[in-house]
Amino acid sequence: MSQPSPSLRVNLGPLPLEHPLINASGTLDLLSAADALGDGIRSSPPVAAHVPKTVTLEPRHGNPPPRIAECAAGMLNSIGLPNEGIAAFVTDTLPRLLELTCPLVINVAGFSLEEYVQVAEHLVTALRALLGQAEGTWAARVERRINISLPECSLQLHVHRDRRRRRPP
Amino acid sequence: MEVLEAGLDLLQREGVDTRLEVTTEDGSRGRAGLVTDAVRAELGPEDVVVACGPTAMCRAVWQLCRRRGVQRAWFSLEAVMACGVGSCHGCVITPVDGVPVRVCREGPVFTGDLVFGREEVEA
Repeated sequence: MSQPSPSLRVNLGPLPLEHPLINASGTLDLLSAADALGDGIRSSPPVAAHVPKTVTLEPRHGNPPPRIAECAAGMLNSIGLPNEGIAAFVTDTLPRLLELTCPLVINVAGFSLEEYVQVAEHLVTALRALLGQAEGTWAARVERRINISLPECSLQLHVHRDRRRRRPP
Repeated sequence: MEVLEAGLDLLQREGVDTRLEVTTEDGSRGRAGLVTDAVRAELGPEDVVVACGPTAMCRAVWQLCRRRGVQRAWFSLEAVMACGVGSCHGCVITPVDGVPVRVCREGPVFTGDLVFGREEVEA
């Protein structure tokens, strides 16, 4: 895709983005959306970086329904972090996410400091294995950032993939 | 109503015997009462039930099906959806096995067995 003029490139911390639009975690699953809407949304994502749903140490079903309510300002939701757990995530989902053409911001959560550390370590180990095999030097491009703006102290891992370096030599 | 009647015409052309009966709770149209009142008299074990509407209504229909020995029943569920494409997990229901499923992707049509189970109902 050619760069629009004027350039919309921005840097989000260590992550250079083509434009300033990324999805909030949990609001868009490009893999599921592609199943429903066609592969175009996966091959040409409408976001500059994709933020998948939060991953926790153990699998979670999430909250019992109802999870969505309308209110005067729009809607409230309380989904409850449903996810497959970090072990299944790194084997089943992460390799497919790494095929996306945009950078990933992987969002992990724990219910204690120890869980944060465990899930982050599991993810970093998997990324080193996956990206190391694929690209050689990608492990060095994994950026870690602790976000303490949320009460539960979410920790996010930013994986920057430079598409220019993915072309075969 | 025109859409319903057109649908019934289609079914009749396929050789399915149809009859439209309208019920409203306040009696403002058709017979006054619940949909279960309308079908209670003639529902039998060989019947196939397809229901669409609020979950409470579907549950009542399924319980009636269970009382009458109906084995084949499908329910098209309503759910508030944020995305409709499987991303947000907002529209889940919790089936009897306890594992949430998305109405927009795994549904919206489910069997009564899956959604409401086979717990004993009063005869």
